[in-house]
Amino acid sequence: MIDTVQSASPAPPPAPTDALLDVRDLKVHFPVGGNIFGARGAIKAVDGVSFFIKKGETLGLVGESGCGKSTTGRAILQLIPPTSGQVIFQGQDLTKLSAGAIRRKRADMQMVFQDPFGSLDPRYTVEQVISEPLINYKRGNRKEIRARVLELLDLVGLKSNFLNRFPHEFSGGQRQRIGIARSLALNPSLVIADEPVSALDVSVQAQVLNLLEDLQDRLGLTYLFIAHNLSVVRHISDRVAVMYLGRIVEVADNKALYTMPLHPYTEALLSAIPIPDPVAEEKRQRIVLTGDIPSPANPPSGCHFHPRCPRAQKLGNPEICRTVSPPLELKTAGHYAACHFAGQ
Amino acid sequence: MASQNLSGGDIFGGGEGMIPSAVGGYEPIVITDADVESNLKSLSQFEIYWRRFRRHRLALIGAGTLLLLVLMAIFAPLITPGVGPTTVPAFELGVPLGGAAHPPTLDNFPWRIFGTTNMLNYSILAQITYGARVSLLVSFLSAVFTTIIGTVIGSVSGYFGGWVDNLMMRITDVFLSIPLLPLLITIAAIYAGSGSVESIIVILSIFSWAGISRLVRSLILSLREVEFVEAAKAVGVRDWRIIFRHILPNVLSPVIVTLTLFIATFVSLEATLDFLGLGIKYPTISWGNMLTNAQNDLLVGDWWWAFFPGLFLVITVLAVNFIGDGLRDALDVRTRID
Repeated sequence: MIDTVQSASPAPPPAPTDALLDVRDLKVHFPVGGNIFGARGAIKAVDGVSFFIKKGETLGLVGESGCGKSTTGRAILQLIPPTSGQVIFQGQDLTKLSAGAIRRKRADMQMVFQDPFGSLDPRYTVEQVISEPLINYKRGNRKEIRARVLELLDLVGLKSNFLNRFPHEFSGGQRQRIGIARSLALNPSLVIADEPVSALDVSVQAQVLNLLEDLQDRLGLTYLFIAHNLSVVRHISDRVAVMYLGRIVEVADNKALYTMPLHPYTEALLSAIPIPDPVAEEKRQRIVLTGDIPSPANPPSGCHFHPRCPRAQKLGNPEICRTVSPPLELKTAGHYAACHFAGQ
Repeated sequence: MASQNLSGGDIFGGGEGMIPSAVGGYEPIVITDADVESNLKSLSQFEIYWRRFRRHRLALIGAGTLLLLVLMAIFAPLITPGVGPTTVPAFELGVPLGGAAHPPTLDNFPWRIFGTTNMLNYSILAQITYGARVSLLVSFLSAVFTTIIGTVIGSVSGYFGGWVDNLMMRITDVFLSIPLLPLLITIAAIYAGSGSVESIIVILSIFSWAGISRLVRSLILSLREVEFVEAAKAVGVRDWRIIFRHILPNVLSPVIVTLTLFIATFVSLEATLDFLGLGIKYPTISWGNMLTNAQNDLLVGDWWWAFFPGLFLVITVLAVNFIGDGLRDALDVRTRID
């Protein structure tokens, strides 16, 4: 009886009216195996993700490698076509737009990429990199574009005499600044930052994070900040969404999530953060998850997390965890969690 | 002070080339006309490559040399007016036939500058200039066709992947596994009995593309995964522009370098075939069959008939290799040029 409930995906929580971006039940499945007559199965990289971002805020999206965070970001920008679901940006569902309309819309939503070495064409000078979006969308004549490029370089803290240099002449942090300048060239309202600092040294990470925060203040940007480093996300985010195996398991205000997590996965993640205080660090109790993250091609039944869930084990592996996928529900004010035993 | 630093002051601009101000202070950025019109000229892609190439001295010398060789081949009738590779110059007609060859001399300039052949006293200068036509034409065209075949097969293979890729790469394996010279000897013996220029070009092109197709396939495969292509898409670059401005330049420059090196390979390979009597045949003169004809003379000490075509072969191969070196450095913007 109860088995049939599993496939039904409940309606996502309604987004507030001031949401800039509203992602509803987004799914991205990649076909695998099989032959030219059809795929044998699918990797469910993103499997029913829903969240919203209000104008001017930063939503941090955290999760293990391979949980589908980056795919979510790319699917929002329609760089990867979503399998189903809605991406409502500025009141328009991007999944329903034509290729041309999406291209026009991209001027308003940009991406900062993870790898500062791979995201810049090695044959393009700094000026060519940053002016490319401006030329594409015909934002002014040569002189105006040159002026805008110089303005952007200044904005991200790079010297104007870098114009004719190539990406390989820069450090990782400087390249990431070039990438940020490119993403800001068109004055977007939404910037999706896909692990923008995870490839950088810790000291440089702080610089780039500060730059991103600073730019947000000055330009009124809205960020979707994808990362696997909880400390980084805590530093920059207003709200945080935790993702596990293609699904969002918990969304809450920064403070609420870090002080009283409701989902056992979030608890386990938070317990892994070292505390910079030797006394407190002594007492820190790590919740060590057993087993590897399961394959998204063949996810566990019911709650995706149940085979590794310490709470389920403590409760004697209740049947509901194995059979029913818990919906992402509002538990307390602004705090959503997808767990049958949230907060227990 | 510390908090000011964190918000973007010195720490922020700490690295070389950072601006240690502005961002912390929230002051409006003023871009003056002087900044825009500053001496920082925007460089086009071609200008960048040319600037890098011309700093490579050997490559410039190679390019100049190759240009001279090409001009020599094109204007062969003007360099040796009225005298072909197999015509006896008028002044030699009085000389008794069947005698020994003349060594290089300034007498009767310029006909004997590289000496003459035995028996008929043909001018080796004329044979070199006309022979350049065959050698250069065969090697240039073969290299171009080889590159085209290899690039098309490699692109299709890399782009479509799957069973197309599998099929094409297995065919490529077959072509790679055949030792080239014995194959060329066999093919040439069967089909190129006529020894025409066209047949040599066809044979060389058909059996040399496998390496290039692998190169191109691997380049396309890696470029498909690279983030800057996705980044270009994210900033609204249209598909055709991504192909022509981002993917092709990154594929073409290694391919162009390989093409120049193929020219060098084919110059000597064509000479080898000619020398073995499987390529261009007398009375069409090429540098390779000059070497064949000169064999016996070399044994009796008349060195010039073999020496000068050999010298020109070496010069051509060296010049083309230098150009290839220069192009590689110029086109790969990641290498430093001092």
